[in-house]
Amino acid sequence: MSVIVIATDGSRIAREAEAFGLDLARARGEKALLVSVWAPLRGSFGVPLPEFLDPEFIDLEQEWAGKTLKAAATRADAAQVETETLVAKGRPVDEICRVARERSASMIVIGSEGWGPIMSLVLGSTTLGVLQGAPCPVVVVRETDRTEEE
Amino acid sequence: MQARAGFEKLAPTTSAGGAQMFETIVLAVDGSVQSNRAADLAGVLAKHSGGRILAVHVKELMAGRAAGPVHVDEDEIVAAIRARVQHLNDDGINAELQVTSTMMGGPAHVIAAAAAREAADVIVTGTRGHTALAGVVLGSVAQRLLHLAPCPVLVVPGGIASGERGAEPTGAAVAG
Repeated sequence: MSVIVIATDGSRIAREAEAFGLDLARARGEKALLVSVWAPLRGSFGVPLPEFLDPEFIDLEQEWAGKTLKAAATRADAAQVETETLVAKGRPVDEICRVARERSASMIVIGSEGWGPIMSLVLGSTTLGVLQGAPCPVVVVRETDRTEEE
Repeated sequence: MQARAGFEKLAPTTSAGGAQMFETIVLAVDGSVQSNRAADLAGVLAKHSGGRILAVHVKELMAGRAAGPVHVDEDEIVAAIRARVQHLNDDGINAELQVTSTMMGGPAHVIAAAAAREAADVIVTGTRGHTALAGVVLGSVAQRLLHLAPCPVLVVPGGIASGERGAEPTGAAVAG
């Protein structure tokens, strides 16, 4: 059974992406693989903070990823979609694409932004990165209440 | 939470409850290899959900003294797209083609507007079309579409070989 990778960071747009992904999985009779990625904290200019400096923050990040997935899995159950959850550590772009590749995902579903504070004007940097590195088609879900602008 | 018997059926289905998730699929086509792949996937989605496909092709025109289509083989392109849509029809899919032209705003605006007008559930597009530039993985139309679209956008990459980052650019100038 092929899988649809649903990338989530617990943000509002990610929730919309998740709902769309679950619908898609059910329509296609596929399994949903809910993926959340946490990255070790980084200091200014991308210099990694030694992990031992702030284990509490690291725990929080990891815990948040776990909680996000748990909540998503509960919703998936309610939607009667077979799911699997996965917490990965690293750069979200790399991890999402890696998981999709390793599991031969049929599709990746991701929100248009979210995933941390660095955003490009149009798309989140993670989303853009996933579009570039993905081994499969990618569904980009936008925030619905922004549709009328421009 | 007390749901009274008989009322549940009237309650609006949540986004996770709609069986008919792709009633209308807008497919951005330009006759490129990438958009053919997008057409294939749109076909699969339409089959799964019993929805219809509205294929939109936007002819880019130049204004002024050099007025005319941007792509010299525009007629061939349109013919190829018609064949593609016919192919979907032969496959038992309700698909129709809308060919429009634009001089202003570009194709992304036209496609996004069509999606809004038709209350599309999803837009399916390739990553880039004929005017591929070296090193550019996500074309300008796809990128603008992601910004303008009133609904989720399904972006279909070109060559899906293992581990590659985008297909090799065909006939594109190699920058730097």
